[in-house]
Parts: sequence; C-alpha cells; structure tokens
Amino acid sequence: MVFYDKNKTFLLSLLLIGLIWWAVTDFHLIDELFLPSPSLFFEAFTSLFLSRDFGYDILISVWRVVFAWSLSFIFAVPVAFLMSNSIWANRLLSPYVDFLRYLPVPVLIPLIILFFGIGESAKIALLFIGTFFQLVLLIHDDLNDIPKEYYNIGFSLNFSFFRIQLMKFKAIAPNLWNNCRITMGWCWTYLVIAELVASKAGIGYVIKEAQRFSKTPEIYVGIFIMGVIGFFSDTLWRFFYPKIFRYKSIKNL
Amino acid sequence: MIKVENLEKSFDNLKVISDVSFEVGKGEIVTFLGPSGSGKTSLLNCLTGLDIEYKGRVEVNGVSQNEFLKTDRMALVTQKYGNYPWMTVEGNIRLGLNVTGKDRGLEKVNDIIDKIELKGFERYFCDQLSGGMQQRVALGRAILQNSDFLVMDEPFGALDYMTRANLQKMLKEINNNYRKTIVFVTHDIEEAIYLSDRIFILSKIPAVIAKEIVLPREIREVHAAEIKYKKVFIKLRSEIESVLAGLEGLKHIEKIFKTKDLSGLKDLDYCNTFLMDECRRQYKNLPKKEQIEVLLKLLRSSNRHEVIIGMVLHQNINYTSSNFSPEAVRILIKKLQNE
Repeated sequence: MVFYDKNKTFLLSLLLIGLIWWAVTDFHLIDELFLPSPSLFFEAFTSLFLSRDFGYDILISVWRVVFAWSLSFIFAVPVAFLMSNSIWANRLLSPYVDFLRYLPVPVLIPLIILFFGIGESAKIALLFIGTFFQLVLLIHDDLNDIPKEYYNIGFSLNFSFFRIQLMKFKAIAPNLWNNCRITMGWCWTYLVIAELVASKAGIGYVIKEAQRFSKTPEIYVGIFIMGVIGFFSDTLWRFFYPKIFRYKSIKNL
Repeated sequence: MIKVENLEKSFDNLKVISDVSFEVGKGEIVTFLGPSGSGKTSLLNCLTGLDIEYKGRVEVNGVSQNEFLKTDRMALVTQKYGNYPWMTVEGNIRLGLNVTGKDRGLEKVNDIIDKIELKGFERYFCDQLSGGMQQRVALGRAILQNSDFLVMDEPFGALDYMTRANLQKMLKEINNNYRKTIVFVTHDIEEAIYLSDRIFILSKIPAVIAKEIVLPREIREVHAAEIKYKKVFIKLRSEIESVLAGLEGLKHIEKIFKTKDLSGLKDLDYCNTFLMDECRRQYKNLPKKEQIEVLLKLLRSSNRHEVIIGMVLHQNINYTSSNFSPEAVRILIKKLQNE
C-alpha cells in the first residue's frame, strides 16, 4: 500500500489538497476574495518575486530570526549555567525570568519602539525578548534534571569546575537541541508581530501590505512561504539530531 | 585505611546516622548491611566526601578527610546512571585515567577491558549494553582510577542472579589483584556473606552499628554458587537474620534463629521448618486474612521471600500440616506472584 511509504503518502496528500483547492475555487464554492484559485496564486507568486523582489523580503526575515535567535542562545546558555551553579544567582534572577516569561511579547511593542525606534534593532529586540527568557528557563530546567549520579562520578574522578560544566553541557545537549528547534519556531511567530509594526521589508510586511490593498493571493503566498521556511528549518534541526547525538538514536543490542 | 569516629548525620530535623564508629584496613572488603532507608547511602556519602556536612571525624590514610580530598578521591560505583551515556565504553573507562589525548594510556584501558570481559564492545555506547555490562564498565573505570579505595552502593542490586554471581566473583578477583580497600553497601545477606571480610549490620534510622560480624576464613574460599549449601553459611545467615529480625521488632523470630540449630538443614527444608513452626505456634487463632498478612510479613523480614515464591510455584511446600486452609494458600500464592 502507498501509505507504508512516508514520501508517497505526503505526495498523495499534497495532490488531494491541490485537487480540493482547485475544485472549490473553480466551481466558485468560495469567493475569490477569500480563497484565490491556484492560477491566481501562482500569478501572485511570480509577480511578487519579479516585481517586488520578494527574495529580499524572505532573506531579511530569515536573517532577523537567525540573528535574534542566535543572540538569545548565546546569552541564555551562560545565564542558565550561572543560575544552576550559584544558588544566589538563581534566587536573584529566577523571579525576573518567570515574570518576563509570562508577558505576551506584543504588549512590549510600545516600549520597544520607545527604546529602539522603528529600525532593525527594534525587531531584533522583540524577537530576543520573546525567546531569551524561554530559553533560559528551558535550559535551567534541563540542568536541574541531570541525575545526581553524574555529578557523583565527576566528584569521584576529581573533575575540575570547567570539566563539570562540560559534563553538564553534554548531559543536556540533546534536550538543548530540541529546545533550540522549538524556540526557533516561536521566533517565527514573533517575527510576524514584529514585521506588522512599522516595517519596510520582510514577509510579514508583504502580508500586511497585501492586506491593505486587498490582494488576497499575495497574503496566501506570504503564508505559504512562511510555512515552507518553518518546515525546512524544522527538518534541518531534526535531520542533524541523530547525526550529532549518535548515542540517542543507536539501537540497543 | 579508613577510620570513622562518632559519625552523626541529620537532614534538617531527621537524624539518619547516630554515632557510628569503625575502621577499615587496607585491602579489606567491608560490607554495610541493613534494611532500606537505614542510612547506608548517607553513610557512604559522608565517607567519600560527597557530603561533608556531618558531625564526627573521618580519617583516610592517616590524614583528615579534608586533607585527603585535596589531592585524591575514592572510586565510586553506584546502582544506576553509573556511566556517561554520551561516551563509548572505552571513553567511560578511560575517564578513570584522568588524562587527555587520544592514544595515551590506551594499553591500560585495553588491559582493563580484557579483564572485565568487554572486548569487542569498546565502541559501543553504554546505553546499548545490558545492565550487567554497564556495571562492568563502571567497575572498569573505578579500577583504572588510581585510588586505593573502591566504594560501591548496591552496585549489583538491579541485576539478575547469574550476572550478579559473576560480577561478585570478578570483584573478589579485583580485590585480590589490585589490593583495593572495598566498602560495599547491600541489603542482600548472601551477597554480604559471600563478598566480605567483615559485615556491619546497621539498625533502622537513626542508624547505629547493631552488630559487627567477622567472617571466618574458610567461607571466603568458597564459590558463589556453592556457598548456600555450606553449614557455616547457613549458620552465619541465621545469625544475621536474627539480628535483622530483632531490629524489626519481631522478637519471636529472633528467638527461633537464636535457639534452634538450623545449620544441619538444607536450604528448602530450613525455610519449611521455620515456616511451619511459626504458623503452628503463633497464628492458629487468627482469621484467615490476617494469617496471610502475618505470613507475608514474616517472609519479608526473614529475607526468604524469593525462595518461598519459588517453593510455592513449584509446589514444593506442603501447607496442609499448618493451619493455613487451601483457600488461604491460594490467595497467598496470588499475592506473592503479584509482587
């Protein structure tokens, strides 16, 4: 059966969705204003790339996510390690992390505009705030879950402070990888919010502009591209997981 | 050499160890035996220096623990999570050498891998191995570690009977070959008798040393599979069981163990006699349900639990002469099977 093959099943579902899409628009079951036909969609797709330089919008969106996410990762790891190493740092920082973590990022937009203006830094700041505190908490939780026996081995082997940190990093690495994958997904959510406010380029901006002029096909193209990027970045993360963490994927004897 | 004086350990208001003193000589195997929750692990933690918030004094190799820990550590093998799963077997064992660089100490590592019979598994990750093999990896690392002391916290507790016997034998060989001082913790009486030069029986918390038993030389030469049938073993076991039963507050059992000479009996008969005696004497007048509860309690406290299950399953036991009705026996079998 075709359903035993993952790729074939996927192709079949694509075909099915395309067919339904074509059918409901071709027979005018849904107004074109709400759902454009496939031909209108592809027309908008090509015209966006040719006339508006949509490729640049995509690149700048990807860059914002990657840059802001990397920044929050670079800061979150040491902060989480600091909180796990020092009970004082933990007591000092964790209330703020918990407080900020629960704030919906959009409520911070007015303040961010006040502080950073409407340029690139404002968008990066928004994405950073959206992921940094979540990452700190996730990493800190993983660090707390390291079995105490791992520390005992380290103690009995007289590990240095640095080696203990390395051991902790290796112990949480697989979970960290997954958390990176998940928080990067969140970053994409915040990106749309960031790009809807005072922006001159980016996928979110294209969608917003299309909405202003009621260009529904372009909205769909923007959404589609975002989905595809999300899909590929997720696939990339997942593809490398078993390559990097071989011990997690190898079968038992 | 380890010397512990008036060790006392509390967690908040709960005192787990109260006034424990003992000495362990070089090359000796000493076992701490006691029921679960008797503070055995806490004691080991104080000994190794994992936990230094205790009262009393610990001396290692003639210097204070503080001084000892500045340069040295005791090798440690625990019941689970004893290896780093992201490292291969070889990597984990090599940790004991405490050197970096790919080829350094390779000879020593290979030598140990040979000894613990893991040749061919060097490149495997620890999670791929069975429980017994994983414990051998931890043991290998601990041997390689340049420490006079090997501290083991119920290392074979989760293993099956045969694997356990093999590892026990291996441990004895290690003790002979490397002259390591071994401090061992277990709740298994047979294991304690088989391995140790001396046994310390710990009471319930707050733990004190309820009894020290020095094992006769003859029992140390016996093979693990054979040991059960030796008279001297049965006698020792009765002695230990008597102490443990006494600690549990089961005075009448303590008395049986003390007064009756059970050493002439084979293992199964020994259990049978013990059970029959108890049933006849004590529980005639109890309702059925309580009889079973009492019997279960007896079985547990006498540590003959597994044997009894085996006997019942193979119908080796004849309950008709006791006051247990066939109905009661059926419920008992069911209960034992479920445990």
